[in-house]
Amino acid sequence: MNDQQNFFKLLKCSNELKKNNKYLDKEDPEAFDTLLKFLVRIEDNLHYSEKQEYIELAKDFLADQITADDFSYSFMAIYEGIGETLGQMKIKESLELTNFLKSSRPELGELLARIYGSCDSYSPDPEVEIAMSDEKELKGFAQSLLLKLQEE
Amino acid sequence: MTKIKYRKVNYEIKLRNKTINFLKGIIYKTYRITKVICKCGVVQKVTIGFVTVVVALGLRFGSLRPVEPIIQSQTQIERQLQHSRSTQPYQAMEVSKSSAVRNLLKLSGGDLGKGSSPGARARSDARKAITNRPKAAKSKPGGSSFAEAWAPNPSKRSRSAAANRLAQQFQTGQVEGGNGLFGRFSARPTPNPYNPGCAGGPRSITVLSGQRNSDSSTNLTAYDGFEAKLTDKSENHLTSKHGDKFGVDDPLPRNPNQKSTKYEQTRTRLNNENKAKVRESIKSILSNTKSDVYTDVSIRGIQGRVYHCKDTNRVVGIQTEGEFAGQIMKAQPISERQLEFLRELNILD
Repeated sequence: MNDQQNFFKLLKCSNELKKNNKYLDKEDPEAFDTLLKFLVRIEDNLHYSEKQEYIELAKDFLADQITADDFSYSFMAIYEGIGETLGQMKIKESLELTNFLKSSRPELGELLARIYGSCDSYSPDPEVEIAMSDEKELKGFAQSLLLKLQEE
Repeated sequence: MTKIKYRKVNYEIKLRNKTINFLKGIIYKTYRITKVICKCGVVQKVTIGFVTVVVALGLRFGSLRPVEPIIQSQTQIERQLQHSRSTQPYQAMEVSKSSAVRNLLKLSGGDLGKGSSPGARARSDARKAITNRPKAAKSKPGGSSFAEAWAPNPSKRSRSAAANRLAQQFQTGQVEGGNGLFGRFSARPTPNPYNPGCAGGPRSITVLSGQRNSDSSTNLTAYDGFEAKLTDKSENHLTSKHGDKFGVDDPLPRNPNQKSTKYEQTRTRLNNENKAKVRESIKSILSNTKSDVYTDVSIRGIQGRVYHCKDTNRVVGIQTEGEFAGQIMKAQPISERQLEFLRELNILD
């Protein structure tokens, strides 16, 4: 059984269990881990497919055309938007998913997840307790993202 | 016979005259007071009204003073009982041990309601406090730090605040939780079903999940009993950033200078309704028994605890260490990559 067949089999199984208020991670943790790895790979590739959005955003921020606050909201919008698209494709068991089951981009995925965390924790109001990142950190991430996407 | 009848009529006339004179006196005094008040300014009028209300409240609730919320010392009970003994004919009793007190209070018996004397009510209240004590302890599992918090209900705060203001005015001792000039005042705590307390009197306190505190923060309890605090500022931050992901469809208008892109940023409007919706969503994640709990998670480098709701694919992160231990720091959707990090590396960035 190839990756594609295995992935759809696990996805179908997971969706069937969900309909019965059960979860694959509880029923078969090993199968869930395998499915999660496929999904992570697909997600990374989906993000890469939208690399132009990320590049434009990072450039605008580094050129001070947008504020750190705007960057944080816009980055999260792209990241979450792609997550929602994937969610819909999972529910539909869309065959389009196979297009993204290519080689993984773990470094990009990891970087994007970290930038998301930084954006989520950013607030222009320093008194917000959960504001644990600042503009400097976001600028550093924007620079890294730009380099990463341009080299790939 | 006629003499007795005459005496009776004479007595009735005298009584009537006395009553009329008494009422006349009251009417005259009221007239005089009204006349004086009329000459006062608005501020003075308000002050007089306020003082009158507070004095009335003081007299009303002053009678509840003898009983502490949880009887901490037997000497307190002794003092109350001795006081009641002095006000009512009552047999001498030894109250040096709590069991003796309990037996003794059983002896007093009967349902001592509103019509009973203060001494009898004191005994009744003391008995209730003793019998309710173990139940009150049971209602607070895990010895949470928030459960013990004195969390006044804002709607019921006026009495206590008024008393405090007055106490300051008259330079009396602390009123809330203490014995001030007008007896014992306290913010009305959340009713504990196991310890209903005496009528309007002290109760043990249980902070319920989702209850707003005086500092506008909210205490939330997860299904596993873990308690977390959601501060007002954090709530604003989370509502603005993730309101749209927590069921709020009230975005702020798009900034005209903002570039039009495929994925447009959404800032949720901050108002009480939207914040309440986000709060409820967070609460539902924490209370969902199907949520996975990840302990010892590094939330942006600080130790924490994460609840992942698989139905909605949302997480709530609570810091368990550092300056903001116990506070909700994250409430967001989670991506596949983030979930992998969480499961394998115990990290939520």
